[in-house]
Amino acid sequence: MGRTYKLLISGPVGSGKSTFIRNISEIPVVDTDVRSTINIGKEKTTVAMDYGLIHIDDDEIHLFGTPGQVRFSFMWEILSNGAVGFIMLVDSTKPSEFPKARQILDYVTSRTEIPFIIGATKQDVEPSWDIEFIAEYFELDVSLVKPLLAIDRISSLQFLEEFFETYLRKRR
Amino acid sequence: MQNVEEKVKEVFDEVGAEVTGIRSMVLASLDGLPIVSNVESTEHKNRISAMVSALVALARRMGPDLKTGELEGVSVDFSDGKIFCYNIEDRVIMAVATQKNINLGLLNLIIPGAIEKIKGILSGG
Repeated sequence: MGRTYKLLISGPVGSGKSTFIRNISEIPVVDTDVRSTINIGKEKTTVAMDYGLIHIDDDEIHLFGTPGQVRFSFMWEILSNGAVGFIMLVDSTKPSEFPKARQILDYVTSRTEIPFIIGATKQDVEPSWDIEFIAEYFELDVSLVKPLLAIDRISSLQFLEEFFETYLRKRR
Repeated sequence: MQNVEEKVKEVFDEVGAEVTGIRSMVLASLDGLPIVSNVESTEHKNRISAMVSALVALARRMGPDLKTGELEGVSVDFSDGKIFCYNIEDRVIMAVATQKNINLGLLNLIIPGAIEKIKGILSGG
């Protein structure tokens, strides 16, 4: 019989969280996107959460995506409650957003011991930071930073399955 | 000549004068930015606006799933008070924090008029 897992997906604005969840979810994603009243580089922004669901074999994985803007930081705490894994997305072409990503990473990992991985999105866009440099920035082992093409369903599924098999399933 | 903030604050004051037990009122954009509030601390005002936006967005999203139609408002009860959020023309949200023993009948009588005034103010009236 399968088990149920809750995963937290977070990252700064435009890092690909909503796209990632939309691309892998087996159900219509519950989104809370509204039109942004300030320029954030895109038309809409998530203000509460994204929610999606996927199965890997018999296991049921609930995906909870946070808003990316810092003023919604209270949702990081709310949504991380009960999460057993954490996927942090960073836009590899926007190093100016890395400090915000680090703030989220520190916030979540300092409150609970949770397996996490960084998904470096937009590695296919130039100029983007290499995985090694991103790992160095976050002071992490390079194995904890993986490339992710969030707009591609196959890439997103492979990324999730690898994280799941490596850090979650083996903990059974 | 009064600006938007002053005009909306005047509406807030009118509501506060008519209904006993109003603690604070906030007008926020749908994406969680403060427009007008009578919450004193700026940091608090910003956080409240963001939280109100998240609450209303989630409630709005529940409507279709539970087949309850379009969102008109959200009310939340606490041990020491209540919060009412009103969706104004899908443009802005007005949140009202009250004491527990607020006269709900009176509040429900006064709020629609206040919302109409705010709509007028935001439309440049």
